[in-house]
Amino acid sequence: MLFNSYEFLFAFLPLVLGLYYILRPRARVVMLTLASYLFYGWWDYRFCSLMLISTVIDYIAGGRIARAVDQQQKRPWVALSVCSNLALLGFFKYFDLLAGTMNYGLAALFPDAGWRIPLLHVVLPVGISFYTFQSMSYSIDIYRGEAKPARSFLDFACYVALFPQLIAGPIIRYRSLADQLVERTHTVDKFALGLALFVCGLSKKVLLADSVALLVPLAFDRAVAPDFVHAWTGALGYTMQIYFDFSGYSDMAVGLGLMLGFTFPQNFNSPYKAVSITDFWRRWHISLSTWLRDYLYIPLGGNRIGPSRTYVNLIVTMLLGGLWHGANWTFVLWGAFHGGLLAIERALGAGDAAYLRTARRASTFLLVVVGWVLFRAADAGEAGRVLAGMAGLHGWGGFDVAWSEGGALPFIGLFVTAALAFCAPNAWQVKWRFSAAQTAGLIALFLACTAAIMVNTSSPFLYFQF
Amino acid sequence: MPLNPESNAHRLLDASQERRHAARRLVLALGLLWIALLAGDWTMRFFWFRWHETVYSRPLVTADRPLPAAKPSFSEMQLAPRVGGDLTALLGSPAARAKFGIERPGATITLDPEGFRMPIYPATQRFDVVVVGDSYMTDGVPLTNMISERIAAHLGVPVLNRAFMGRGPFQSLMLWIEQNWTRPPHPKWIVWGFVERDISGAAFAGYIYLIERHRGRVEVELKTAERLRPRVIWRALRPASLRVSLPNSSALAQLSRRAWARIQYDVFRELPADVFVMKDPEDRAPPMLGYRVALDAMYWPPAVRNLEQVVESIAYIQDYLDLIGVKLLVVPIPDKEQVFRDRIPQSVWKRGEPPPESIAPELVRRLQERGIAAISLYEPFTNAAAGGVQIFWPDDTHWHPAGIGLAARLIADELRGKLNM
Repeated sequence: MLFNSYEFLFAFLPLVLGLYYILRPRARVVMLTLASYLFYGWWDYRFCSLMLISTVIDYIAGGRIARAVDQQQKRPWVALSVCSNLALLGFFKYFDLLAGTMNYGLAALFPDAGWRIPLLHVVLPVGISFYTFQSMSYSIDIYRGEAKPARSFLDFACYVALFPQLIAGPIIRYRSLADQLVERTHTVDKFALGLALFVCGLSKKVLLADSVALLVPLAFDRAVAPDFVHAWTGALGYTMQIYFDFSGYSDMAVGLGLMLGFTFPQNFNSPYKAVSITDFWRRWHISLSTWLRDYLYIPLGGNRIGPSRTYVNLIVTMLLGGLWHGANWTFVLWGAFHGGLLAIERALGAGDAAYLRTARRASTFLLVVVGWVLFRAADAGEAGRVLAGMAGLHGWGGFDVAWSEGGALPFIGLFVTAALAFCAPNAWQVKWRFSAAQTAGLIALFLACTAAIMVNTSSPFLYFQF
Repeated sequence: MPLNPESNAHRLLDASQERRHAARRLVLALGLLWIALLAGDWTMRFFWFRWHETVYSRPLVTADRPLPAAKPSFSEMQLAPRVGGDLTALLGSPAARAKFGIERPGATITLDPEGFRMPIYPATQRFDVVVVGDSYMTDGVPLTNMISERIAAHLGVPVLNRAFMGRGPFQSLMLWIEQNWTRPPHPKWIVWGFVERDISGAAFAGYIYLIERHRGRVEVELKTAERLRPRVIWRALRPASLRVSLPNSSALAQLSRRAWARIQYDVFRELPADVFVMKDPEDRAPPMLGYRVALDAMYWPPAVRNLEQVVESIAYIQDYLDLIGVKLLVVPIPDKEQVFRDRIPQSVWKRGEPPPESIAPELVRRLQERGIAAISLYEPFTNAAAGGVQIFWPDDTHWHPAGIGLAARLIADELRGKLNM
């Protein structure tokens, strides 16, 4: 179920909120778990079994690790947890990529051999990357002594499946939610803040991201190579789409959490205002970069083993982070690109002269746009065509042609999103006083979103596929 | 890296008395608005759209209890004069409707005792040919323009119209089967017309299910009142069905679409996403409106069209009708966008590729190979359109009387030999 769908806004959410506030505290966890499974099974009820398997394995592993007396007894259980989650993820997400790549290699080495690894065309369960990472971090944290085992299976199942953050994060550690599963505060202030963040997030997604998304086909998924204007319009359109789409989702997740009494972490902090790629990754998808730092970069040695090993660790972390986003070599390229940039920045050191800030912000943004081209392209060939178009190698084209193809509204959306991304405070920086003006603004946004959802059939969030 | 995201959320919370008071106002205002929208929309869903009738079925007829006639005799219906067709209705803006809409005169039409559009006929009239399908097959004002009447005029025998509007290509054929299976005499031929955008393997596979359900009901011959009790249609409650049926039965959605379409045209001079303008490259004819749904269907991959499944389903239906000695004449009707493919603007092409050609000729060839009568209107329509014949209304997805006339002549030519005339 999508947050911006009719069935969520006008059936599921009111029902869940209504039930939640009439039930007793303990029954609320049961209801939230069941509702989360319904929410997830709405795509395909079979996906629920995968989530349940991952939940059961990690719950048992976590308990065994906690009861183990030494590291040697703990290791098999943490290995079981990590391997089973990675196996689930690997099979459902990467089997066809691996088989296809091996077939490509086999065809190159043995062109006459008729045998190939069959592709399974497995349907990717929505949000599997998020909940496996989240579930896995539970047993790792217990292994490291940083978390206590869950009080009950129900608490843990609720943590893994909790619908506000199930599909696209933020990725939350068990330790930061454990106490909240037992006891949460419910205040009007918290609920109002949740409503405000939810409406802001919904507006980002429905009014802005979906609007600029119409510019993306000017550069991508075309039979012909895009010219300069088309390539830049499409690339910038996608740059704004992915930010407003994903950060909108995160705001909605946090908002829904607050309405249910939970406090989730911030996932975006105006990333396009970053002055370096390092800064960008402190602001973009913060819960993922934190996860990668704590469970990959630091265990690899982080920056403790010397400069050259630090560069390798950064590149490897980002490369795997790229692959986490999807089963396509373009994601690996994107990860390698960002890893390389992080390593270069680390090598050059960070100057912070005020007069250079604007130039650094502009160059960082430019590099991020180039990265998004790699990320969005269907294959390396298309990425090359779009980047060549951005360099003017396919002609300059006309703005009037792009305008007539894209439509007035998406271009207006592009200017609005750019202004918001570069100049406005984000939803976490706004001073929420719930003044009459803020209340009126939120009501207007809610009405506009409702109308927009009704006008367009709801479009899925970009990060659902990852 | 100085990341501590867990602590950030607490920054947002503020326990001051002033904010608590203001927060109450926000929750109250937004909550009331939400509840009002919710209550209004669900009320309209039941009372206006009668959504529950799609998830709750009452058996229409059984072998021992035929459906009663809807009305005791023929009745008249007044159709008011109007400007524009179904595509201009999507435009929302009165200015846009006035620009593209074409005037249609009003008329008085007759409905037969079962509520179908038909001229008056005697109760004992026997029909050897019946026409079924959706709005395409029952379109045409006055009734002499309706395809059943045009075929009748060509053949010189009465033709019964059993097509009705707005329920898809198969419902009228299924209703005919429900109502007439146990009520001989049966016709020799059923002319089944459906538009090309409705041809998909998944939809046609579902028709087998409906036929099979009817077969079971006839064979079991339900007799007791208990077994005729209304039933919940669980298929209609699946997520995939609800995702479509809930927004489609939403008054809010209808209002929003109209309002947005109006803003789009009046402010930006843009048409809604469902509609686009098709211009003659040589400027010989005025621009016409195209329908996005039909365009999207043109790009469906072979796996979605799944012609094997479509042919199998039609063959299955024909086998079933063979039990009562009825033959099908299948008539795939090309969409307007298909006939005027060269007028579709590049700006609406998918992936920068021109729309693929019609699949109707291929479907007809496969059906004929299976021994099922079928005719393709695609080639005659494109030839006639190239010669300047107005096959479709410019402001409507439906065919013009000239297109109906051409189709009727081709169908009559096909039936003439088969009826030994």
